[in-house]
Parts: sequence; structure tokens; C-alpha cells
Amino acid sequence: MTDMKDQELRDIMHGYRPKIDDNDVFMDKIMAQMDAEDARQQQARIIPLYRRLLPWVAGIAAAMIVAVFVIKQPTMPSAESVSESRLPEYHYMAPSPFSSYEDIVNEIECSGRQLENAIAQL
Amino acid sequence: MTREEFTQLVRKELPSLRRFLLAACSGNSEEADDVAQDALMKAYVASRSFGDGAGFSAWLYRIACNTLIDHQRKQTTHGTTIDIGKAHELATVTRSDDSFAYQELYCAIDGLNVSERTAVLLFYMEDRPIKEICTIMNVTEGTVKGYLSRGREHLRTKLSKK
Repeated sequence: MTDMKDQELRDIMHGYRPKIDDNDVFMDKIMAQMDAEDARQQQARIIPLYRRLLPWVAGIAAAMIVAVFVIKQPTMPSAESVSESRLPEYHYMAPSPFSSYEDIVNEIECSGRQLENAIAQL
Repeated sequence: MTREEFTQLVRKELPSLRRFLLAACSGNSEEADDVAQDALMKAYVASRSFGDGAGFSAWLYRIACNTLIDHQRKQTTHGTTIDIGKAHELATVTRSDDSFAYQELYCAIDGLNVSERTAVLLFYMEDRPIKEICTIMNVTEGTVKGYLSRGREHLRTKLSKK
């Protein structure tokens, strides 16, 4: 068999073809690995998106917190503002000491005379 | 290529791919299955950009051959330490064929380098045409013929003595 030709060698090699029976079991193992690879790739796609969105989400959350604090914070009204805000109401509601325009004029004249007397006494 | 298409094509190629890898790993079924798993996962990841099924077989074998070469290179670099007392046990466990029916082939193939072994197994055992072997191994036709010539010469002396 020193002059072995291609076909002879091929026949010999075919005779040596190893038998493999558990291809279905092996395929199931590969399918499980494919599932794991799919899950890993899906996670890998989500993480960069999450990382890209994180600064925006943090910024928006911070802005909302600040806005809530500013709006909801109970403002302590100052004395001035209270008097200012209540002054028209007081004016409106308080009973006026003058009943007519003539009373006002009389009061002014009376005050004027009192002032003249006081000056004269000086 | 969808997952379903990939699965369907792999199912078709799996028996011959595993047989080829088992022979290329000289009957070490664990190593052959490790290489097959690695290669199939690499192929699955790359399959989304593969397109239709044309040339799938050659493409898959190319990935398998590259994975096999990487695997064997790693083993050569890192080496394996085996307890001398367990060497016989390991030899009987890792060789998939209990009857040692294929030992003669594996011994003959062991004497070839990876490229020659790949070319010989693809051509003589898997009946792949030379052009396809060129695509799988990414070499020219002349190079494949050279591998086959050297491989044939080696196998002639080893196998024809039986």
C-alpha cells in the first residue's frame, strides 16, 4: 500500500470517522449559552443608556426638589408687610371720626387757631 | 441572521463539526467540546452581522479552526501539569472512544502540525473541496495542496502499515 492514492486515503479516513451520539444534548447546552449571551448583551445595552440618562435624571430630580422647597416653604410675613397688607382693610373698616367734609374743615380751623394761640403765648 | 436561522444551520453542521474537532484534538472529547462551544458562541455573537446563510458552513469552520489554534496555543504556552499516577486514568477518560478504535488515526494525526492536520481532516475526512479549505484556513490553494501533500505523506507511512 505504498502508492496510496487520494481515494484510498479518503476511504481509510472515512472508516476512522468518530461516532458522536449526544448532539442533541450538546445543542441544548449551546442554546442555554445563547440565552445567557442574549441576557448579557441586553444588559450591556441597558447599562450605557442608564449611564447616559443618569446625569439628566439626577439634574431633573434636584431641580424638582429645589422647586418643591421653594414653593412649599412657609413664608414668615414681616411686620411691615402685614401692616401694608392690612392697612386698606383697616381704613375701610375703621369708623371715621369725621362725619362730613365741614367737620374736617372745622377741625383744621380749630387746630389752626390752637396753633396760633400757642405761638402767641410764646 | 436571526437566532432561529442560526440554530437551524448549526444543527445541520454540528455532527460534522464536532467530529472534525474531535479528530483534530486527537480524540480528546473534552477539549473538542470546549473548542466547539467557544467557536459556536463566537459565531453566534458574530452571526447578527453575517447576513443570509450563504457560505455559513465555511464561515463556521473558519471560526472553529481559529478557536482550535488559539486553544492549542494557550495549552502550549501555559502547559498542563498531570500527576504521573493519574496519567493512565486521564488518557482513558479524555479519549472519547473506549475501545480505542481510533487510536491509530489519532496517533497518525498527532504527528502533523495544526495546519496540516486541519487540511487533511477537512479534505479526507469531511470531503471539503480545496477551494472551501482555502476559505476556511485563509490561505492560498498552493498552500493547502502543500499541507495535503505533507499530510498524505505522513499518513501514508503511519496508516498503511496496519
